[in-house]
Order: sequence, then C-alpha cells, then structure tokens
Amino acid sequence: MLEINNLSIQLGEFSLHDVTLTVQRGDYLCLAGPTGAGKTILLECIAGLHRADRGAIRLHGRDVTALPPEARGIGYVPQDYALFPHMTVFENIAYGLREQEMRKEVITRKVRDAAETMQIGYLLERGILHLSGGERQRTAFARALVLDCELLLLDESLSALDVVTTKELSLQLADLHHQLGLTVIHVTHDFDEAFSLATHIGICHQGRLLQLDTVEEVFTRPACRTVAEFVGIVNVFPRPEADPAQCPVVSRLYSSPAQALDGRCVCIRPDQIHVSRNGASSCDFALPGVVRQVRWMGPIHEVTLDVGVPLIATISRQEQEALRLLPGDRVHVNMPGGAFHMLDST
Amino acid sequence: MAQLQELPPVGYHAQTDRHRVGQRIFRITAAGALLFELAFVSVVLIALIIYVDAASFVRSLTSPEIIHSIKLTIITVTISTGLSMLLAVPAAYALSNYRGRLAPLIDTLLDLPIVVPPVAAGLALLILFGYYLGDAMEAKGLFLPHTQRGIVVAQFFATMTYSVRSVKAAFDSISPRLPAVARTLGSNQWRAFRRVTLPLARNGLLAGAVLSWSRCLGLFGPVIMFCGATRFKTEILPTSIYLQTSVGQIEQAVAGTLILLIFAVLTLFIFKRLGAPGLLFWS
Repeated sequence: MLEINNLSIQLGEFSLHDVTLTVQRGDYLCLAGPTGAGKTILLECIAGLHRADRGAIRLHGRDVTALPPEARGIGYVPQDYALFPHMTVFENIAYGLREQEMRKEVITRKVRDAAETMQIGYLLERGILHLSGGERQRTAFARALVLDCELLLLDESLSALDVVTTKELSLQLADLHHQLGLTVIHVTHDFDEAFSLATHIGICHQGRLLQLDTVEEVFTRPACRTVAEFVGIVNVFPRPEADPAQCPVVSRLYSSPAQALDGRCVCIRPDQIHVSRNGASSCDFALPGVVRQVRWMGPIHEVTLDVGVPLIATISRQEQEALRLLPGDRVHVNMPGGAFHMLDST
Repeated sequence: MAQLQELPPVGYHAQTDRHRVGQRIFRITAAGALLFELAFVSVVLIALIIYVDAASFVRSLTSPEIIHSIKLTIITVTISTGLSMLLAVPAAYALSNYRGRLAPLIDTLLDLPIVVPPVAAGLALLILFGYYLGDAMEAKGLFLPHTQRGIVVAQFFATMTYSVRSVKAAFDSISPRLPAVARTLGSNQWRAFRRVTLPLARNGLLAGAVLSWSRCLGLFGPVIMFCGATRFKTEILPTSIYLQTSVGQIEQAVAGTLILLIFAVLTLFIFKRLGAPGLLFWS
C-alpha cells in the first residue's frame, strides 16, 4: 500500500537518511526511537508537509512524492491534535468534508456518525477550548477518520494523556484498526503502547530506520545493538576477541558448538534468564553468580547479577517471593541456548 | 527556657529591619515614578482641556476650516490604513513564512520607515515623486506632491511598517501545525490561509488596523514636507493645528488638538480591548 524508497531529507538539525519501508494494507506500524530520531519528519514527509530531498513515496502504486498534502488523501493526527480553536467540535470534524463540497445533510450525518464512533456525540456544539485532553484527542481522531482515509498517521497522539485515558483510547484505536481495516503508522516512544497496538515496529535512530519487522521479530531478534537496547535488551556482549577483557563466560558462549555465532555481539533478554538457588537445571548454560542488586519494578523485580560480567535478569513477584533474593546471595543463573541472539553490528 | 529557645538568633531583628526598609524604599520609588508619569500626562492634558471653554470649542468645531480638515483627515487616514492593511496581510504572511538567508535583511529594510526621521521621510518622498517621477506622473494626471493623494502616500509610507509588524505578530502567534493539518484535510494553501490562519489572526489584524489608523491620524512631518500646508486643500488636523497656532488662533488649534485627543483615546481603548485575549472568539 505504501512504499518508501531511499527517502532523504535535511530540515535544520533534523534529517532522514535513505529510509526504505513498505507498509501493507491493514498493517499497524509503530515507529519508535529516541527523541530526534527522525520519526516525526518521516511521518510529515508521508503526509506531504515536507518535500523530500531524495527518494520516492508511492501510495497504492502511485508516486505521491511531489504531491501536496491535500492531494494525498492521508489522515494525520499530530501530537498536539492541532484542532482549530475558532471552530466547534462539529465544525472541526466537518472541516475536510466541507472542503470536498459535500451536501449539508451528508456532512451532518457523517460528522454525527464519526462523533458517535469516537463517543463524543454530546460534544458537537462545544468549543475546542472547553474540552479535556481525551475529548480533544477523540475529536482529532474523528476529524481524520470522517474522511474515510485508508492510511492514518498518528504522531505520539496518545502520549499527552493520563494513563487511564491512554489505555482506554489505545483499546478503542485497536478496535477501530480491526473494524475499519485501517492502515496506521503511529509514532511513539512508548513500548507498551507499541506492543499492544502494532503488527509491525520500525526503530529509528539518528535519522535512519534501523529495523522494520513484526513485533515478535524486533522483540526477540533485534538487528543491531541500538535496537536491542531500545527494546529493553540490556545484556549485550561483544565477541571476546573484540574485547579481550570479557570474562570466560562469554568466551565459553562463543566457543559453544551448539551456537552458530557469527555476529559481533551476542545478547539475551532479561526475562529469558532464570535464577535459582540450586544448581539443577536442564538449561544449556548454567553459571554460578552473585546477586548485586534487586529492584522492585511493580509486577516484576529486576535482579543485577555478577557472573563475571554484569547480567540483568527480570523475575516475577511470585518468583521473588519464593527465592527471596538479596544482594550478596549466591545463585545459579540458567540460560537456554536458544535465548541467545546474535547481532550483526554494534 | 522554652521561651529562650524560641527567640530568633542574634542579629535577626537588625537584618529583618534593614530588609523591610530596603523593600519599602524600593516600593516607594517604583510607585513614585509611576505616579509622577501619570501626573505629568494628566496635567498636560488638563491644561489643554481647561484652556478652552465649551462655547468657543463648539464654535471652533463648527468652523468650515476645522470641518474640512476633520473630513480630509478621516478620509485620508482611512484610505491609507486600508491600503496599508491590504498589503500588510500578504507581506506579513510572506515574512512570517520565509526562512531564507535574506530574511534578516528584509526585516531590517522594513523597519526603516520607523527609524527614519519623519521630516526626512517627507523629503525623500518629495524627491522621488517630485524630482524623479514628477513629470511622468503629472503627464498621467497622477502628480502627488502638494495634493490630497500625496497625503495618503505619506501616511501609507509612515504606517506600513507598523501594519506589517502587527499582522506578522498575529501570524507568528498561530501554530504552523494548524494550517498544515488543514492541508491534510483537503485545503490548498489559499483555503488553509482563508479558513484557518486568517480567522485566527483576526484580533491581531484588527488591532494592527487600529494602530495604523491612530498613527496616521497624528502624522505631521512627512505630510507637511510632501504635501505642504495649503488651507482647504492639504489641511489635515495636525496641519490645521500648526496653521492655526502660527497665526495666533490658539482656540481653534486647541479644538483641533482635542479632537485628535478624543480619537487617540478611542483608538487606544479599542486597541487595548482587541489586545485582550479571547475578546472576539472565545469570550
């Protein structure tokens, strides 16, 4: 549905370099990455708000690179919603329909339908400045959705709201995605939001798209160290020859015949490390270690271990209740061989 | 013992007293400066108002010369403000959206009419439209110096920067995301400007028009240099005050001044009201 080839643009301090991606109809792509990674510029380029220096954007096979925003037919909800403050909720939602010069009755019906879908039917005559954050966001969604766009661009549209409203709207957004068969590209820096909504995740960093894949793939097999760290994999170890000071644990891992270790780094997710008080384990790697720190993180505990190198494991509250780990405790650290993932580059 | 423990440390009272005295001096100085300025403005205006009695004020007001100058002033000021705003809207939009390397230079050039002395501005207009373009324009029946058309040109020149500045400030205060989103909703650039930017800048535009109008109203230097002071021809209110004073008709001069003063107070009041957020849209 959407194809972007080698898109590059320089806008002041921000830039994009050779971004290439494909989004299929019905995909929900979350673009994640640190601040200044170029996510918003990419979204605005797709919307037509910036002209790319190089590269091409194709929508339904049609080259839209040089087309102005009004000719692209793409829905866009910016971070601050950009609702028109001199108009009511009704007028905001009707804005695009009026541009299409639809008949008044059709506009009224469509606006009411969109408002009902977003549960703001009772707000239609209200001014924008009298709305809460959640109501503004629903109005912005209704304004974009009423135009029946197949591609919807959301720029951190859930980030400015409280936790309860965010969850509620996130669920509604997921429903709308399924019901309307929308294709969505959603910029976010919230990984929980991305995992709960997305079918695909793209990780941006310093103006480049480092990896674009399914949620599962990015989560379990990050393409590089930056992506690994961004998806919460804190245990990343370079090859021993790259850093001779690394402990024998990592050397042993690299020399294991069971592993086809051809990358420059190996990583393991904290939730795939099992900690036990006794040594009996069927895991491929069972190492003795010492607990250095235990941090309570709500439903999980983060345990910093010393196995020659620092290793971070996460255990559930129930596990911690059974193990009662404290700094200084000697434990056994068990890692299944399949949990290790090689990274192509640092 | 308990009482002793509650006592403040040694030197506390002295420090507090010094602090209080310093604070009082600062407050008195600030309030005193404000009161002095208020008193000065009031005394000057009161002196003007009490100089002329009601009967002679009304008599002066109804004199044909004053009536002519009031009419001419209102007509020329309104035309020049209209022209100035008509050009200021697109010019300010361009200035607000242009981010090129020449932006600082353009910005400085636009400010020149503010810093050029009024008499010099009038002389410059006279040289351009009299010496250089005079013959050509006269041939087409558009000669400007010493004409009522010339008054409009002088007022326009002196006020256009104010108009552009106030309209630009109004445009700059609008988030660029609003017209951008309007574009994604199907508006072309003109429609987004007309339906989103312009209505949101309406307060600023009206305030700019009022400011320009009031500035034109009292303009004297460029007008007298460019158009002279011919009775019943190029005699706007400021020129009339000058003429009446020069021939010793102080009462008529004061009447003209009071009219200008009334207009000035009215425009200031409107400007302040327009400047208040939420007056037009969100009250």
